[in-house]
Amino acid sequence: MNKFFYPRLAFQNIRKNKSIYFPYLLAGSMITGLYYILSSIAVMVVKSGAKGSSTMGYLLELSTYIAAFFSVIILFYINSFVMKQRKKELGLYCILGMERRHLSLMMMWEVALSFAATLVLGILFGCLMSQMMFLVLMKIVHMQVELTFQIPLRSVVRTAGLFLGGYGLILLYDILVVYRTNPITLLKGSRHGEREPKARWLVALAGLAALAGGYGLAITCRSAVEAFNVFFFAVLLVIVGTYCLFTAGMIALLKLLKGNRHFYYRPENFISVSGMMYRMKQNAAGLASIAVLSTAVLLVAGSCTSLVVGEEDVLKRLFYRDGEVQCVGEGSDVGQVRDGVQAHARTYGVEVTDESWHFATYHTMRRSGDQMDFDLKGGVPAAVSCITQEDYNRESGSDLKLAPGQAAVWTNFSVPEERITVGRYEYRITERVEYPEFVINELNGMIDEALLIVPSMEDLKGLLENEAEYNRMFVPELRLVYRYNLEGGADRQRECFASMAEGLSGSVPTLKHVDDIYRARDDFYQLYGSLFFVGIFMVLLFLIMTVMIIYYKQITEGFDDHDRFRIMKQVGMSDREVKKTIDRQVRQVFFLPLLTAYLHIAAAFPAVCQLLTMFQMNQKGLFAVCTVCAGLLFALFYLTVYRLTARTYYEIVRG
Amino acid sequence: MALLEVKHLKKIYTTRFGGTQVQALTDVNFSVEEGEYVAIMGESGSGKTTLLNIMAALDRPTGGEVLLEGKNLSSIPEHQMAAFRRENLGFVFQDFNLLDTFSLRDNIYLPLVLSKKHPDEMEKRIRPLSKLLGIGELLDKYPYEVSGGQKQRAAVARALITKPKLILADEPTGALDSKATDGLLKVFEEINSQGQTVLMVTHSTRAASHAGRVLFIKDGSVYHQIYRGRMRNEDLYQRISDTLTVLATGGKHHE
Repeated sequence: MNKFFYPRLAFQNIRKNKSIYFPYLLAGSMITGLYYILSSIAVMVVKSGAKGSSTMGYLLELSTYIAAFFSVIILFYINSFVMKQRKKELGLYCILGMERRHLSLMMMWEVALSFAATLVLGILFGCLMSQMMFLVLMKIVHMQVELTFQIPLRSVVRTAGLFLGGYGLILLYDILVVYRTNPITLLKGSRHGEREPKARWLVALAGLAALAGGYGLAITCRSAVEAFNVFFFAVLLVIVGTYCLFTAGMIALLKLLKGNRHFYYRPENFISVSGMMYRMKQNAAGLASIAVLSTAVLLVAGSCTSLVVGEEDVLKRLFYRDGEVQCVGEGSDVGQVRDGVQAHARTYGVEVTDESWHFATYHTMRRSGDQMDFDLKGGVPAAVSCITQEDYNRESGSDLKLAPGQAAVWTNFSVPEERITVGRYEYRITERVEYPEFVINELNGMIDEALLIVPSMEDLKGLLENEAEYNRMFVPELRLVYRYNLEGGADRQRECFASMAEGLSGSVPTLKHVDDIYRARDDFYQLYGSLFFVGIFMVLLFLIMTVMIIYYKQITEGFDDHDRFRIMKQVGMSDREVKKTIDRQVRQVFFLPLLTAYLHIAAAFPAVCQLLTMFQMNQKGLFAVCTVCAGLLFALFYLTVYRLTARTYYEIVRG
Repeated sequence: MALLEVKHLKKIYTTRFGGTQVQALTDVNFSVEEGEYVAIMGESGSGKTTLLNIMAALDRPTGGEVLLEGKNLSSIPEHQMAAFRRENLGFVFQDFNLLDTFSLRDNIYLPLVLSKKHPDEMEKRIRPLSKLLGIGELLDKYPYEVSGGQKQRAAVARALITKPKLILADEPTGALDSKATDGLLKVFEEINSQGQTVLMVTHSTRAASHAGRVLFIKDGSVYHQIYRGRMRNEDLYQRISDTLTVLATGGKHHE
């Protein structure tokens, strides 16, 4: 026998099964390319040596592992589809006298060829795209780095290694399939004598309950902490519910419809209902997967986009002034801080303007009703901060005149009575105010919060002493917050801000924390920009998987429907009716997951909004817009994929 | 006037790139009266299936015409064709062509559903039919749960339920064992005796021997026909066998 027999046979098999193998190889190449891009960008970021590049590099590096995991799973999934399609062919080879070890050898060559082709194409595609993607990343994270064309060897080796392993697993699976192949049953095909699916009411009801539970958890959660606690569980419930409802619920529903004679015996429903029943039986898992993946894609895309787009507003809210100095403890003095900041600014030739300062205390407490306790037992968590009326009046330009024992308050929970108790102090509420802009608020509605404007510094000191009786680990201290803007050249401003901590360390003994909007912005974009970037990759991976599932579904169904529609034509259906019925069925089946995904997103919306507040993002409107945009884009994409794959489907059905 | 008239029917298949031409039917002429039971016989490749497809309006002839109750099938526009076929013709196929996703009842209902009949009407029609065909107990079973003979009876019920003018059967006994074949042929005789016109294409001598008239096709045209007259099935069987021998040997062995 010619020693090139098996490689040639493998090559011919791939060529003959173009409609099955081409998408497989394309998807394989793209997945390989994506992995290479991510990996090489991680290397390029570290190499660039820019500020913050090591954290970003670490983050990207971490995400390559996640990407590797998904890549292998997706490849495996696609391969199992390919094998399913080829079972008949394998059966034929068996009949023609090839032994299983010959088939295994053939499979080995096929997998090897696939591996080689996808690796070469993938890395080629990756090398071209990675440079561009690197620039995109730098743009997202607001970094300026010069681009040098590079192909990190490390990434090439890692990509090759990963996919060698992946295709190795695939080969093992294929050989397993070959060995479990019974040629006769394979040749006959599996469709003969397929039973009508039974309605599994219990599973359907369980699915409904799980879905309702998941939705309920997501819709009813009121705070970020709650959302964070329940979200994972809710997601799990929804996934379980989706799978149960697709596998059992749809069939149960169709059975109900079939029971209704007047509905069922109509041309437009007759064929769809019973056809759908079999389709759901065969494709439920695949469709549920599409629904879950689509939901993931939309959530990731919507929330990442809104985070990146909404960042400037978050920064504006967190930074009342561009620069900020915080001192902690007795003896903090505004004059001292002001002198230090001004002296430091002078050395950079910039001027301090718009200064704003106040003293404040922050207490972690437990709340029951309008009673706040330092004793951390019972009640719900509450964060209480207090400022003096002197600071409040100066900064907000108001004219409060509080007598001892009186307070002006802001709370995010309801206080029906005109009094509020903090530790051993009780205040009569004389006024309710808006949250003052100049007071830092990082909690952002995650838990119950209260801000008290109290008559004098004595109140603050009393509260601190009161808390100290309970909290011996971290002695609470008075905080001085001093904030300012700089005026002068932008570069000099940045330099001045950057070195402010060193500048003050000598002159301000109680110095605790120095921050500025530039540093915060850089940090933010590096962290969330990288996350966003990684999010894009995950979305691409999920999309590839979705497209592949859709494509192979269309093909399998096309083969199934081919005979069915031939019969219908002979029995007296016109071409147009056949086409209409096909359209209807295909549409119903393929748009079901998309609708499900939309429903999931709608239910998840309140919870995700709460979660986003953890990232200081509290613009529901922006998140809604981003999600809707992602939804529309996704629908467009889905429609395109559907159109393209439907063409293949019709060719098979009519052919 | 005859129920079905076939005049000078001609069909030429051309290969895709216009190369060779194959003449499937050269010049076919015959007619079927109402209430007749006609079998068309011929070897594989004699043009039987082509003829049936043209009579069923699934295919168009190259020349000649097919008239059903004087109406030329070619004159029916494409979009009315499916409805016309559904209402006037009933089909029985060799491999049953039942949909495996439907119960027998739903398979039988299919043409009625397509014609938008009321469910009560469907039920009224299926009852006597299923009794006649002996499948009353099986209506809610699925095709994979019943035998070949039972499947073919269901297919016959599906063909009859629209009360068609003409039943076209294509090798209806081809996939059946001898017992089921006998049963099915009895069914055809029975429905024919009730006035149903049946046209059957077959190459089974046994199947043809139940018909009232047998047409023989060779090389794309009607070569011979036998009327039953007063013959019993056995006699007709003998006559058909003889004719087939002559057909096969070209009559040259009659020394």
